[in-house]
Amino acid sequence: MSMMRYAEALNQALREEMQRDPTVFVFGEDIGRYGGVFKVTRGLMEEFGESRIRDTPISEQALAAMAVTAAMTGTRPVLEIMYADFMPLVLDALINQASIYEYLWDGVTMPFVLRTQGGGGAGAGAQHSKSLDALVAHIPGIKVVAPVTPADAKGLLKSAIRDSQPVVFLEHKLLYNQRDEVPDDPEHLIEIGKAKTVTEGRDVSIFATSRMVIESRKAAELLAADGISAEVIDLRSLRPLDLAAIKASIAKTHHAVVVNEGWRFCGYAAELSATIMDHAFDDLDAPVARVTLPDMPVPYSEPLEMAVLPNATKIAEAARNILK
Amino acid sequence: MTEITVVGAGGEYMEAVVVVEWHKKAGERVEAGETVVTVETAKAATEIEAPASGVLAEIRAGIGEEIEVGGVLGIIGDGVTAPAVPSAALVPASSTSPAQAPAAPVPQGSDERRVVASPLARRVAAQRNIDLAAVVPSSPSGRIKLRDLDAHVADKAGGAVAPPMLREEASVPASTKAGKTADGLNIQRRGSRQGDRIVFLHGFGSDGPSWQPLLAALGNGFDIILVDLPGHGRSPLPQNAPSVNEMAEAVAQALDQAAVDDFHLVAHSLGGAVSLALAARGRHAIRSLTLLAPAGLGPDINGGFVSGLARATRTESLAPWLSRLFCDATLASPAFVAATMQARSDAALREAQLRIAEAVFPDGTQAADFRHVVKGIAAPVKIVWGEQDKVIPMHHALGTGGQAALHFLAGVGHMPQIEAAEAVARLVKQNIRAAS
Amino acid sequence: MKKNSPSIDERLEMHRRMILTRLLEERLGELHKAGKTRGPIHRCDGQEAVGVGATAMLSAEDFVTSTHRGHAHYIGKGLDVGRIAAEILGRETGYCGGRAGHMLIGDITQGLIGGNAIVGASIPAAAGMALSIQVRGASNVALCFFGDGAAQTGICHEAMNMAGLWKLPMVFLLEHNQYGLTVHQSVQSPVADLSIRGAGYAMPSEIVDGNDAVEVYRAVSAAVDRARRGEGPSLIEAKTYRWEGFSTSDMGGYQSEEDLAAWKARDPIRISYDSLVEAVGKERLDAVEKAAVAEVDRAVEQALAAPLPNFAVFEQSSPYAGAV
Repeated sequence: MSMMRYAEALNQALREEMQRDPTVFVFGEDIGRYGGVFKVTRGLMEEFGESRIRDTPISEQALAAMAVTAAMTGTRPVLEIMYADFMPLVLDALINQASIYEYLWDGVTMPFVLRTQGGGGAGAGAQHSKSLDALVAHIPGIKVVAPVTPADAKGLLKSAIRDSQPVVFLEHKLLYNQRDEVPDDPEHLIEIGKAKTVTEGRDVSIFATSRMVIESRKAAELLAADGISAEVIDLRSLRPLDLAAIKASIAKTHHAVVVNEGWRFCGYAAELSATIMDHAFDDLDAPVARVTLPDMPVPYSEPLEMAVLPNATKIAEAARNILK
Repeated sequence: MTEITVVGAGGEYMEAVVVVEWHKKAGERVEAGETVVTVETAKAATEIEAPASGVLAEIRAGIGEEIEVGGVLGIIGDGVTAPAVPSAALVPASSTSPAQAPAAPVPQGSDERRVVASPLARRVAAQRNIDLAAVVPSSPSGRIKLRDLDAHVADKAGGAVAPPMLREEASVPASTKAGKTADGLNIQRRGSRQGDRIVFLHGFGSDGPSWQPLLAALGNGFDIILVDLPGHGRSPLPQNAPSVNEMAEAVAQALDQAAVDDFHLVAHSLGGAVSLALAARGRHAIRSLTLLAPAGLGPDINGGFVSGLARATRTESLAPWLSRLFCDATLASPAFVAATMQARSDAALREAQLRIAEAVFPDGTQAADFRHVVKGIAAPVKIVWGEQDKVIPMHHALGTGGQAALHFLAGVGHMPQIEAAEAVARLVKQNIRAAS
Repeated sequence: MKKNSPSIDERLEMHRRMILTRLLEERLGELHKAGKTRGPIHRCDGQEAVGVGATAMLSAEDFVTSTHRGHAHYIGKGLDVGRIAAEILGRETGYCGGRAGHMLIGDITQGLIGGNAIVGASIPAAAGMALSIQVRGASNVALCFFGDGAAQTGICHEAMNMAGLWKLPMVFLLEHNQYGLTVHQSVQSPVADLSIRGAGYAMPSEIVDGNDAVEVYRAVSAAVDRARRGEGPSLIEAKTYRWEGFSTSDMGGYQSEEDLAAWKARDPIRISYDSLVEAVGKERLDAVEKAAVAEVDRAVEQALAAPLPNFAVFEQSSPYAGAV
């Protein structure tokens, strides 16, 4: 075990996987000489050279399409898209290309990873603060994961690189500097499709993604002071979803709160509510509560931005409401 | 009121049957033993006999409808009173099966007033035959929630709360009903009242419904009584961990309350030790005793397995232990593991079982020794053991003296009633025949 | 013989494949009129020399990306007419089991990866494949076909920029048939010869007569050699013309009769015939045509007799873990 930052854990995962498999290569804007704007790829170009670590021009649309076909023809690309807000640029490559080929053409695999980061709270403004989870989770044939801890970041990135299907890897700008213990084992892999129970509880289940897991844990502490035992589950995998974990938790608590930093209408939390209705309706003692961004842009000034972001207080309040 | 349930028709641990034909109409008189409905499984069509005489008061599953094994097909009443409580604790559903549809619609007070209740409250109200129209919601949302049902039942009972999942028998004398306490063990009855009566006591960490594969192999025609031991299934969780003798006392009381004093006894693992303690009491007429890999015959037990099973909070930590139960580890299929975990999803239940394990199997040792009891039983005794049992070693059977018949099954682990259900069923039937 | 010229046998094979393509297009037109096809079909009558000539020197390990008008590309790359016809007729025996249709046919084993109904998508797709070749240090090449309409897309420019920057081993084959859907190229671009853009991306470019299969072959062969030697991409603009409208839904009226007549007088199959007849003889050429007719007849007959596929949900796209 070693103590390290989330960004370093990702760096270690990339390094180990590139050492292990010569067909893995990393490309994206500013990831080479500069080491990436969040320093995730620091030192990699010196070790692996300029063919396997490539600085690219600002060309997200073509880059994403190239990641798809490079993956189909014998390599394992890892493409860094600097901000999740640029996802709309890569959507054609994901929706009209990557999503269809495994179904249409025999013998196709597309082992690419598209890493990006999103989320608000850094004062980055309306075009640099979004979480567009719903847009990518909607696409058949694409896996979507969002690790919260450094250990999960390392384990999930390794699994994502080794996966034969495309994986969109959602990081969060406020998670990069989180420090925690990370296993040294180069075979430390987290299975995609497995949620994690962060806090066990009996009265209400809180399902959260990405940085919202941390807010949910704080919410559980607030609730515990009121004698409410909340179970916090880090979904980790937005698609495929660990349905068994969701059902088991609701069978126990009968109350569900879903927390996601996307917009409310047609957002990822909306799908979770529908999934819960499909599979755990008769175990619900109250409607599913959603804690999300309101349906508006993320504002810049601090009081405005803090007002739109989900936080522990809002999550705890949502839980109390449905327990009433 | 008697329920017509499906017992022998299912073949596997969780299977549904489809209703093929009803031989009686609602309102028609039926005699006990008459074929009342035919159901079909993947294997064959099976005729179900009426478990009691009376009137076919209600048909719950129509032709072509699928119903889980253990589910209620219909109700036989005396023709006068209202339909009985639908069965509550059934076979644990697989984690991938769709949510069960609620049973018969709950009668409502007024047609105009719409009752607003959570899905959970509706389901449980239907199971407990509670009229939602009479329940007062406490939530500011106006929606009836689960807690409102408990409050409603407590009010109606004038403070004395009946055990929620205990089935009531119309034939149980009123005096016994008054003697029920809130601490009574959960008991399920299945099958035909006319048949030989068999009481089943399950093993550590298990519950009554786990007997299903053996029940299926036994087939129709038996009066089946499944008891949930203290701290298991839907029985109350004890505050202090009971000893084997205390568990036997609780079982004895529950059988008394159900007016069951004359029965064959089939018991597994910890239930085996409890059954010997029960026999030692001499209060009941135990006609035959079939012990499957029983505890109580020696000091050895796989303590690591017991605590591993009790501590597991999710399928990943449960699966490795469950696979040690069988000689063929593939029997611990994902569906089996998921269903088992779901039945153990209550942390309080798991804690209670941990305490029981510490009391009954301290430091990985069996504290109680009932070998002398086996030697003293007059009724036919069979001890069945899998040769590949990794939990309790089969050689414990050798210390019981010469009276008990010993049956060692090759290629079978700690759960012969699952891994060799047909063979065990044959032995149980032999034992029952030997008794009469 | 000039450097990079096709042999007589190669020319005969190109001739045969052009005939196969033309016959397939004509049969599809008849089937469409008879109501036996579904959805619009984009015929390439008149453009056969481009697709067939540009692929004749490639191996199965070289990659080709195609467009919505790709039948000449498919046949040139060695795909079987029978399975193409079956796919277009939605049969189980088609290249994609009837799941793809005529614009999305792909065969990994032959390196035709694949048709694409998104205009311009073939361009970054080939760039991605070339990137994979370069990272792996292999000696294959990727070739993309695209039209004058696609040449205006953003992804065309992004991909050409990166190909020139990184000297990707690929060939850009601009099949200039003068129309983007119903709009003439003079209304789509301020320059008539799009090959001028090659200079903007530091790649050599050339204009060829797209109706002369041998010309196309020579230019592409030289470009392929350059790419294999590591000298980077080339842009080849093949001037040609389509006879049958943008698709079977085309209501016509925007192509002048004079243009059509002039281009039809330069039928690529006729040009090929005239250039071969002295060396090979009329009987041989007639026999080739006869055999081609028989092959296409058989292909269509078998396709019409083949069963329609049965539906199955594609479990690999399931949103829930453990479903596969």
